[in-house]
Amino acid sequence: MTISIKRHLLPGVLAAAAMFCSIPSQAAQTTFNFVRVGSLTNVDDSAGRWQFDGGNVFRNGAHVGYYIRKKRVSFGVPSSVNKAAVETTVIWKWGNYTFTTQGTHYFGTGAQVGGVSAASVGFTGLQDATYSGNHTTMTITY
Amino acid sequence: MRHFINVIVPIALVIGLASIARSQMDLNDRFSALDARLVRLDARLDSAAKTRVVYRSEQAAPNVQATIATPEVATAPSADDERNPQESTEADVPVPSIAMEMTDRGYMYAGEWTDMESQLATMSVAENKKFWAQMFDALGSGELEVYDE
Repeated sequence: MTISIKRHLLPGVLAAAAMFCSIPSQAAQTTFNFVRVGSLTNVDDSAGRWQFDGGNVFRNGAHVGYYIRKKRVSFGVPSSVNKAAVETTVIWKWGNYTFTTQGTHYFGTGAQVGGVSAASVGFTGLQDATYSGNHTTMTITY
Repeated sequence: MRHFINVIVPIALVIGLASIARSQMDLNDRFSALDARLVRLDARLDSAAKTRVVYRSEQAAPNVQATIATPEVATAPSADDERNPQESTEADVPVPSIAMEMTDRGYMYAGEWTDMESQLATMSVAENKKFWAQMFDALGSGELEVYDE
């Protein structure tokens, strides 16, 4: 009986192993450069501070879109943490396509980490993407 | 003298003929190598032509710049600038119109103009990833020519 079960299970196990092994790990990366237009604007309120900026987005020197970025600093987060919530929306230069990233911005080094939180039709491939970078570059892994 | 003619001359003729034959073979080899290089070059040119992608637009670039310049107003808000969104100013209006004007953009693939809008709208997530992987690689590398007519 045991041998029979093993014989029946073996092909399934082998098939599952083959499927697992054949799952492609094709994580691609792309880096965008942000060039601010105008100045960074701080807006203080009783709960913290907003920081707003926006400008042009480049890929390998080619102008591919525009960005709108806002950072939120909260008095509820200890100053030792020194991080803000950051949200950046990239408006693609062509078509009606956008994607938005959300993450954190560390004021100590300027480093940002997070992921793509919203993607329009046209950018569905970025739905589960993550990113890292700073205020001038964003490397998306998708 | 007769001995010289009977022995040396035939040897010299054989050596001379062998030398000519060898030169001919070297020349043939060089032509073959050249042919192989030309075949590879043709294949590379053919491949480059197929991967060439060109964005195309009916939208003139100066108009785009003119409309894009307006968001500067929005980049400098102040704490007391709480305008009702319904009371949009003239500077706020062009932003959505940009997307509308650019929907007729397309790209050229393998020598044919293609409607990018419909292509992207019908792609699966996996296809979309592949599409952008190619596009992102091509952008700025010279393979993808971006321009406004």
